[in-house]
Amino acid sequence: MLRAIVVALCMLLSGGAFAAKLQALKAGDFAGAWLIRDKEATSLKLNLYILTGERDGVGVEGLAHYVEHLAWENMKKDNAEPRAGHSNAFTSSDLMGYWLSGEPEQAAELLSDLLKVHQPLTVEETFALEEREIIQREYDYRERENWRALAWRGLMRRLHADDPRQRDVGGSPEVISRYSLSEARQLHRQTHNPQNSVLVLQGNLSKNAANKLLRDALGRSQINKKALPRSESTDYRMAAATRDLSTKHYTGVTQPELLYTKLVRLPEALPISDLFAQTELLDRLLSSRLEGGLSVPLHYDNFFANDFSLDISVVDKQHVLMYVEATPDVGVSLQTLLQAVESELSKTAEAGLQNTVVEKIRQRAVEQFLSYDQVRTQSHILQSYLEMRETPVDNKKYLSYLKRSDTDSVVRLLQALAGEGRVVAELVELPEEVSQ
Amino acid sequence: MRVKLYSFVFALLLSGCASMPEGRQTLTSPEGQSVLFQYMPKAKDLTVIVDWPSDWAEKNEHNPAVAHLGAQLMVLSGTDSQSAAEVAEGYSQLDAEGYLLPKLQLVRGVLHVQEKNLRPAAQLTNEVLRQPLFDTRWITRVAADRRARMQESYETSATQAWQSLAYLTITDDQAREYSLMDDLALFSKVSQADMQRWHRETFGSKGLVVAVAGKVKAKAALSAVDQLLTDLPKSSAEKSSVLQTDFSPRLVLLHKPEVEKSTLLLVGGLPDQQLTGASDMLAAAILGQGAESRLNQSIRDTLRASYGFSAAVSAYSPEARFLYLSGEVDSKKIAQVQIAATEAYQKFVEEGPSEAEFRAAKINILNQLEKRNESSTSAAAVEMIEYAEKGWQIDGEDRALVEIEQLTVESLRAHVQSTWPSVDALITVAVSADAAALENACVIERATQAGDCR
Repeated sequence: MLRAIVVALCMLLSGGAFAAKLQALKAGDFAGAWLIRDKEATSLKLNLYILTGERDGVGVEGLAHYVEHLAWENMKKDNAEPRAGHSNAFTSSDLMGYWLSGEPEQAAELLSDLLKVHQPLTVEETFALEEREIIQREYDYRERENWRALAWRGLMRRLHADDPRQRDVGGSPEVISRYSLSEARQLHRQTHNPQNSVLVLQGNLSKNAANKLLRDALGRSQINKKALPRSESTDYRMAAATRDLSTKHYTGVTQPELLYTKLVRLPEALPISDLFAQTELLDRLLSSRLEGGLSVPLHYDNFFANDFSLDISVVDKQHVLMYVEATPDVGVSLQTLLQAVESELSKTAEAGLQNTVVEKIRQRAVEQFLSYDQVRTQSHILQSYLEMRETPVDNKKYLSYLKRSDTDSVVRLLQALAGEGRVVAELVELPEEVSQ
Repeated sequence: MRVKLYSFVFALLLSGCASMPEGRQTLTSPEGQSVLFQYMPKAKDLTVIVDWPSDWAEKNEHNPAVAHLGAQLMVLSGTDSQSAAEVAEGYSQLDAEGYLLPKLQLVRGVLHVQEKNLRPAAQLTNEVLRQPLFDTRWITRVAADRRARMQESYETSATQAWQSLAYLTITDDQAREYSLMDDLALFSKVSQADMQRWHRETFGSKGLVVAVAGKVKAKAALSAVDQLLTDLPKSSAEKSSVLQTDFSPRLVLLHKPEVEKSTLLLVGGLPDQQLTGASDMLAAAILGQGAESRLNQSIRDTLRASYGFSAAVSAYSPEARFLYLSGEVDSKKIAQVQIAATEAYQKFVEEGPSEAEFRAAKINILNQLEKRNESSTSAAAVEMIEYAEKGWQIDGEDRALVEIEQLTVESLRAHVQSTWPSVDALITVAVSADAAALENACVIERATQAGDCR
């Protein structure tokens, strides 16, 4: 009995399942500021998100990524002593992001350094132009000898034909070599300002301490006074529903592969939290071995797909995208595999989903969610909402959406995915087949 | 008085939180199996590791692909009483993961699960271990997929650099073939009978090393281990001999006219470790991990020749550890990168880290170790096995943490100077489309020729 009381009290003291608490901070001129409180953290992590990504379509392709590299250099100090912690930056289709971590006692210094990405680009011109070479090397690292990267870039361009989401975040070698410092400075001025930024503090500090930290730092920081307000993101522009299938050959392919995408417009826009929850449940269900799961007819019961993976993601409140990557089994053609994938999806949509199966999937999703590192999960959730330009919710709220999505809503999403949409797929063949 | 009493009870309860059983110990299961055990109250799950000794790698008549495919198929292709889909769904339902890793001297079985599902997960895994269904259709599909994926990997310049290194350093042909699996034709020569023989000879109940770490009570862990090993044959294979390696310095250039990028790899053998390896990790981090590391400053920031050039410690086996410096580099600057990397290395070995570098890296690695010790059940289980193999006590304070806590900038400098190879002792392997990219290099056209560069 005493042990039970001790365990219960320990759980209460540790904050239970939701150890990571998301709190809004006083953001000043910023588009937002948040605290992810982690009472067990021994270090502090600071993130700065810029609410502009490649999909905002500013400048030549990949320029945002170049700007991110140059803005990062703003944070470096000559002959500075190494400091504990880590740092990195990224550019995606939706966002640019910078983060620093370090000892809690260095919070003010870390924040001051992080905010330097807002300051006018100070990097010396020769170094800045040389940075294009580093981006070429990054391109080598990520893209060369990687036929899938090349294939997916082409697919995305065709899939998002009428929308800037078709743009390539990394740029191509030809484009990278033409980046100019003046264009980079202009894009930096347009985007790297408080009004277009969200700050996230993650660590063991109180809301009051976090607010004080922000107040002190923002008061001192030399923000870009000539900043332009950010351009508002436009709604997704879906190209016409179509079937765009092509046979492809790439260097490095060693077995045939189907790369399949289907983008659909939902009958009506949904609250983003509901759509996140519904896509997660449907994604899990279609990937499962339960009734309705596609891997049973495609991979287990019938040997159509040797390897099969499916992913569903949210494009915006009214558009959802399904990706399938599959290799045909020995003796199965890519065409047969494609037909099997589409036919099994249609059959599942026609048959509908059993309530018991959806419940089982939901229970699994909830249990897994609770077993994840809650701080990291909160950080991912926050970023997902920022990508959609929506106000983030905390883990508890996110879980409530997962719990409340009913079977009918998941079935409606499934039916939309099986219905009319924009299908763009590549049937990637072996090089030998080219010569045959 | 009442307030005082409440305070006292509250203090007692609080102290109960801190004194929940922790630490490592060697226990014995009811069926007599020795189990290395660690209770980790802050972990979310637990890991069970079982190492079966194996000599499959060193027997000439054995096809090494059998072990690689067999380990995959046991978990994938179902059992005598459950279909492949049912086994996969069984693990999903239990939110568990089970897999087998064939290594040179052993086959490692790993099960990750939460305590509440441990019993059914152990039961399912026991069935997988006892009654795998090596269905011929599954053998064909898995062999085809594995062969294609290996071939794709072997066509990249980075893999070719590592493959060349293996031909340079692993002197035992059987062991190298088993580790690399670059003779892809072997995947097509696997039969069901081969699989059954490998299974029969490997998965016995003698000579096992078992570790359990995580949020699980000792009694439940021991019971699950017995369940996992129920009815396995009372036999065991021998363990393969220790891997023979040669890390003497050589300069090799793999000339591949078709490669689209260049890779440079510098490698030095490290002595059989007397310490946990944490000091080497810390030193490698200062040399080549992160934006402020020596190599990044030299090769990315100054020479502008690479997106990232890093240093780390790795091992072919516990006895064959090595340090490596590697990265993809500007094809026009390979020779300059080689010079810059060796100069940065030499300076680091001779002078050691600065106080500031040392302090920052020490804090980072302590944070990393503490976080790992709290939550990474698989790391804890593997570490217990490694310690036991060295004959170290597994209980008591964490050795890696103690090693780092006791480290000073002077002792790290002394450690690097006495155990890391001198710059002249490094092996250099480059992969490039330019046959003249490195002067005085032994130029080869296939990774398999690297062994001829003596």
